[in-house]
Amino acid sequence: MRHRMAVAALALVGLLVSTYLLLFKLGVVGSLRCVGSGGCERVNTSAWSSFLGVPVAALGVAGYLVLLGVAMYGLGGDRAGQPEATWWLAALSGLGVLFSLYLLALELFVIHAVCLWCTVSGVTILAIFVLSAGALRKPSRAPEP
Amino acid sequence: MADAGRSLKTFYLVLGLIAVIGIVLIVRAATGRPAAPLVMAECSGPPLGGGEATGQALGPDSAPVRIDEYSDFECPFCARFAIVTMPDVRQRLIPTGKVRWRFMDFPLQGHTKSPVAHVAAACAADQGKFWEMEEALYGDQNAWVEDSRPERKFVEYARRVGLNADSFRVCLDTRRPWPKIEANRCSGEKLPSTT
Repeated sequence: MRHRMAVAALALVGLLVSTYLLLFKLGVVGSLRCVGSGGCERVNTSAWSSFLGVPVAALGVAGYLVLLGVAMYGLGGDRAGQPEATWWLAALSGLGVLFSLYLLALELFVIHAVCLWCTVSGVTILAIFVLSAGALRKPSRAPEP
Repeated sequence: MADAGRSLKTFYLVLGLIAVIGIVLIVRAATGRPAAPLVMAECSGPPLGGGEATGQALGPDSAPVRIDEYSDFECPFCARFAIVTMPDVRQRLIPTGKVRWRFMDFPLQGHTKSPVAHVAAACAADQGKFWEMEEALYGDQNAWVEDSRPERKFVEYARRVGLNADSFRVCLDTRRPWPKIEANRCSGEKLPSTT
């Protein structure tokens, strides 16, 4: 149950970061607060800031919303002791980690700029995956009566 | 069971706290202090901030023909001239020393994005790349005119033409060259005009 709480909190952080990046992409936020020489804006205005025509930040918002929803659902009622939600969290965050690695490779080898907020999101999704996969390795416990 | 309830309560509290802090930070970023507004002053008084009407020149001052071009970055006819005719001028008349061409800022009232575009060009001039930025601004005019925050586009152009993006951004945010632009504009306002 604890790992799902941690996952929900991390998913909320990821959701906020992705929302910030999406608002920049949509022109609502004029400039991104970043460290270094403008890597965040360079990455988020590049041709690779959209994937199949959808802003990458929007995919992040959708992904973290789903993770948050699954984690919250897994906390309710007698579902806390069932492993299904954890399986879903591990599978979805695993996909997220792969996608984040693809984006990191683009930043390092194609765009030649690193975006701090994208890195925060990458670390967040990795932490969610590690927590979920780690919880799957432990034997599940029935909720306390 | 009571422990689980307390634990859930703490969890929801932490979650709510994260949400509130995050939303406040995002709203602050979205509604942050805008850059100083660019006001076009009356041209009858002394030059604003001591700016001088120097423009951006191509070709030698000793050229037999000296042309001052008063131009507005948001004006579609100026863009057409810059794209269609100016390359010919630059290729045939400037290198042969026949003409000294001077670009003078002339942002028009009602063209709301034009003043900041002129600032962007002047910031590029600070790094010796005025004409490269002029080409980018006219060449991509539709894109930045329709953008709600054209400054983002200008930073993209700055990178594309090889400017130091950090210095450019500081110049753009502080509107540093505005007095010079106003001086250029007012020098045009004071000229006798015929239509």
